[in-house]
Amino acid sequence: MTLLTALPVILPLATAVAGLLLLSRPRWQAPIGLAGALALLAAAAALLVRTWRDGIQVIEVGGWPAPFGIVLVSDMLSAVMVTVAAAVGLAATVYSFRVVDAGRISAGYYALIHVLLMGVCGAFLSGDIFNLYVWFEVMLMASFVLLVIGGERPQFEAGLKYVALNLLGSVGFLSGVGLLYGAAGTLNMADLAVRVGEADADARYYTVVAMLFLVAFGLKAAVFPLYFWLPASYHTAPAPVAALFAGLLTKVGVYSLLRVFTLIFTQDTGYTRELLLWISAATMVSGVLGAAAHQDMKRILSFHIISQIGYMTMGLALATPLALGGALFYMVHNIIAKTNLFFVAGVVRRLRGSYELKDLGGLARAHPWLAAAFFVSAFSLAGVPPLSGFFAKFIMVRAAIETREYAVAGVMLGVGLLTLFSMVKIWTEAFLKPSPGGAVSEGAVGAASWVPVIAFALLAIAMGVGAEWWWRPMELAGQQLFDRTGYIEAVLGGGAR
Amino acid sequence: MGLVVAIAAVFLAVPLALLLPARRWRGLLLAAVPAGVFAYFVSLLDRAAEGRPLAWSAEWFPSLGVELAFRADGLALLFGLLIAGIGAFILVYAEAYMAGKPGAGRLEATLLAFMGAMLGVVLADDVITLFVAWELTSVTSFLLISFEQEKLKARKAAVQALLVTGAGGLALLAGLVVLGQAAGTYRVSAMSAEAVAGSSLATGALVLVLLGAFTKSAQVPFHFWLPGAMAAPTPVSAYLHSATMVKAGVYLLARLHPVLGDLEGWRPAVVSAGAATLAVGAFVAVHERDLKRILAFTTVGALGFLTMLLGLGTELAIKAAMVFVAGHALYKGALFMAAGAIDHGTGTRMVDELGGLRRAMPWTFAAVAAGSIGLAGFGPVLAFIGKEAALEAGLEDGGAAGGWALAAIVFSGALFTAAAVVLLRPFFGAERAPGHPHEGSAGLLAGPLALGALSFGLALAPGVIEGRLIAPAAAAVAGEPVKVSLKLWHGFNTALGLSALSVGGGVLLGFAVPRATALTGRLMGARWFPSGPKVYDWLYYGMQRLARFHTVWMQRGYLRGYIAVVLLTFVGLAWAALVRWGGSIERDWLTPAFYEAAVAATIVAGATTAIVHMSRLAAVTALGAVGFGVAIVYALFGAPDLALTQIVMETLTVMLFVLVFYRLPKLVDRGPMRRRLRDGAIALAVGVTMTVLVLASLGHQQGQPISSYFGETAYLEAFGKNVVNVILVDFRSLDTLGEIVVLGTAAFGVFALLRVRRWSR
Repeated sequence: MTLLTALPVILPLATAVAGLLLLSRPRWQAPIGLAGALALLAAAAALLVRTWRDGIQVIEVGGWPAPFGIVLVSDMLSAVMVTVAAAVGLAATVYSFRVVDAGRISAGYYALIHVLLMGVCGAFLSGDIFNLYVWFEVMLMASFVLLVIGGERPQFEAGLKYVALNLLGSVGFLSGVGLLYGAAGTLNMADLAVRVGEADADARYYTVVAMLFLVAFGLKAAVFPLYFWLPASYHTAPAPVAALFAGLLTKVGVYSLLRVFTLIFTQDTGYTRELLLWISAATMVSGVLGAAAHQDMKRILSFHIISQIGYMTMGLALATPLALGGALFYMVHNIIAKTNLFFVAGVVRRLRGSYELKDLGGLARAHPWLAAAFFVSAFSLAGVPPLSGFFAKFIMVRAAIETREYAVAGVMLGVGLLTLFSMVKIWTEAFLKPSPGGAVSEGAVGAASWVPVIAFALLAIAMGVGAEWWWRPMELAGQQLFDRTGYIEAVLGGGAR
Repeated sequence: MGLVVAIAAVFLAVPLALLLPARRWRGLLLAAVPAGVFAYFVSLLDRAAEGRPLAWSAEWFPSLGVELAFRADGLALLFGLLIAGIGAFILVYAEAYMAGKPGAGRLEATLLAFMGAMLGVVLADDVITLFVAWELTSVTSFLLISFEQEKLKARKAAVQALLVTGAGGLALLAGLVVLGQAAGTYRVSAMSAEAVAGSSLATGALVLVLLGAFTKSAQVPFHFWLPGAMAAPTPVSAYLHSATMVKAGVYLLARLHPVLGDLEGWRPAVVSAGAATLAVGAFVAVHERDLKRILAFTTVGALGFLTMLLGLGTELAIKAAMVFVAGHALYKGALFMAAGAIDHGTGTRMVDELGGLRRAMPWTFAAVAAGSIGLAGFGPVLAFIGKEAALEAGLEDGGAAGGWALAAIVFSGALFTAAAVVLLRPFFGAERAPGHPHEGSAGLLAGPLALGALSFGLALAPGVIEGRLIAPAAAAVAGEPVKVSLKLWHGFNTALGLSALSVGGGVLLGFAVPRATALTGRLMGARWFPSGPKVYDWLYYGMQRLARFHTVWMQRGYLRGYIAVVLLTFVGLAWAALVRWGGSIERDWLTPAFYEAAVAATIVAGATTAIVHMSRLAAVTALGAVGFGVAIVYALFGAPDLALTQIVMETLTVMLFVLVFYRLPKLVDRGPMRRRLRDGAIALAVGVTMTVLVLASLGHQQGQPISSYFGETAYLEAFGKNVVNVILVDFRSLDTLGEIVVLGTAAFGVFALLRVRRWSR
């Protein structure tokens, strides 16, 4: 037990506090945010290595033993997600330099990013179901404030929908926790796993309780038909905020689904997995159709988030070690590709002042590097080899075929084709087509915006070409999720009840 | 290792093409790369012929059994030689074709990238490696078709080609994964036909792989993207869309023939697709007036021809296919490049606008003449040897498939000949052209002349390739050693008779075009005629209409509707699970004590008032009553501290509401009755569901709740007398920390909002 497991929560908190204390010095805000993000990434990477080498890490907060106190637990799923979150946080921080206006900075923009990161990392690490709820609240509040500060009417309208629907999810979550505690008498997730697993006669009662978690986390993850808040809000956020949200927020929902449906609610898998299968398929299809219907870069990208959530939850529904590891692989790939697409959209907006495809054109000739970065990320998203999305899709398709879910494999591939369609739509309209306005006056884009764009495009390539290296930790994560005894033993000790 | 170096060398030339200045020698310099690869492949021929082909592999994704594996057997080398050899000429040609225009470097770079990918396809021994290269050819093809990106037509054609081959690619991916599952390996050279045939997945794998191959090789009904792809610059059409990429599907059929060829569905499916494509391609070709489109449709026909032969799968048919692959690449490459030279020299590609070009463009004429003989398939050309072998294969077969094949060959032979006549007519008669016709530069002519000459040369001296190239290639397709002896002249036999018959008819038809095709042309142009592009458009726009309909319906923009859907989803899921559980609910709650009933009634009354009353102030006060009622419930059931907290909270909330509402406008309308009823019903459903859930939870307590631990240890270990306080600040201090952050962020958010708004004013 070392402090390392708690650092991804402590560091962003410290950074946020430092930023807020020095709020009267706007020039210090960005450096503090950057330092904090770098430190977080270093800590997360260290935690990942530690978890990889030494197994699941557990810290009992306040020294109170599990299952009575709160534990933070880092298994491979948590460690990978924390690391990716830290990387996205760092990229968004760098991207924000010179992009975010002075008003937002003096309103604590960088500090709020770290509050959000604290919530995200806390959610990934928490081994306590009520504590998870608390981190959801932290995330929700930080993201809401990030969405609306410095905003005008559209941001407020979007913020209202965002917060109202998410609060609905929170109410469901909290009710679920209440019912679960009422029945099982514990909040520690490993302990819950044990107790729910022992409830033979009441196994199906726990399925009823599980529905509340399905709705709450499903809403957070933006699955069909609970995703409304996402397309209603993301497109109004400033580019770095939208990229951060797109990369991380829904993934916390997916993470939570993965966690509770592999650890706690495994007593009635025939039913829950069938349900998840249908929800996932509907999510994939509905999201990609939404993307096909839109002509605004950011809206297209927002709907694609939804569509791809379906692939990840499908990994949970298929529930083999390959599929579970594949869900994580898909998630990491998607965070890299999708975040970068939002970054690129932001650059496009700054160059040309619009996200609308009809206003755009000629970007490939004018900005070949931007075009290359978009091309790589977009085709990666569409699953074109040898980019990251290809192996993500390959793993999922193979998992579906191995479990004889041929229809699922068909849906995945069909949705892949429609994804390709809408990515190509952006490419031909914004990048190839001649600019509709003729000669264009362009805004300036600083070097700070290019660094994360190029870096993430390279990551998308690296994840495809060096897939094996990326897969190994995720394979282990898949095995840990598939066989929960390791997690339970790590938290409750070998002599678990 | 050499194989990887060869592929890598081609890819490494990509940045070179982008960086080198636009000079005439750039094309030559770049062409040296594929020329070197060509020479290297030639040096590998003997090993392949001896049955010990060069192979190389490295781990790529070993956890999933994916390798980076290459293997240069006869089949791979046949295609590899064509790709590298024609590729070298194409690079020289492209430099001359672009003639210093901007973007020439980009074109050559993309051509090189395509070349590398295509070499990867044919050399791959691992099906996933093959698939990766396969998709890369689709992507580079997309980039090349949309090369003239300002043109709408080019962009549309590029998207069309990408979506059609992309759809096929996805089917192929599924097919290859299934195949790997059935065979137990992704290594083609290690797959056993018996293992695959014995698997229940065999048919699935076959169908999916065929879909991939058919879309890539433009088989009916997926053929329409290929003529569309003619929007690309001519070097691209000559290279990708006649000689190489479109043959990838044929290559795949040949490659997997030893594994899948004996399956039941192979013969009928592949022969019928091929025969239909051959007939359709040849038939449409004579209706076209644009040189490149004529060539595109004859290419479609030729691809059908090859597919059909592989479908027959007899030794003779395979030999014919291997010879024709080379023969077709030579004559079609020559024709395409010559068509580009005509376009360059006259300013048009429409045959009706051209005449008498043989004087102004003698070399181009020579190239077209050589190519046309190949197209007609009658004369001392390599394609003729292939066609004769195919006819013999059809005659020998005897079955229905052989008969159909024979009919298709004879029918399309005539039409191909007619098309060849059409291609030659611009060179005869009175001189006619929109511009002043002039001969192309050496760079434009070297390729078509060389390929045309080779087409003759190899036919006259087939011994050069029969043993070293064709035999190993055919052996790789047949899966067993094949003896090949190629002869131009077989004497007078049935095959020659059939050939002569169809070619003779074709020549007559060729002179009658366009009169002979007027009627059928009008038929195909009819609105109801289900042509490929129309079906594609229908699907393309239909999908977008569906998408819009779906999205407008789903994402309506009203928070009220969103909330309703979320709540109903919850209600539906909860009840489905409840019914499935089917547990009973204890009934003692039906007989409450009178004070409990009174509190409950107060709460219900408060909630009802809040809903019904039109005054905001009254509604808030009523909600306050609900809150105090809840506080009493807490007090009654043993949580006095919670009750106190609730009372403080409730008081504060009501006060805040009152302060805020003071500034809000009056509530005048609550919307139509119908909506209110609907919303009321939803709210009621949620309330009932929640109540049932809570009631259902009674009587499921399991084990000792952890709260007993808190009671036992709060004073002894945490030194606090108030257990709740100890829980908040010690046992679960992390929760408290999180909640403090939430409250702090909320407070800060309000502060920041006010501040930013003032700042922005």
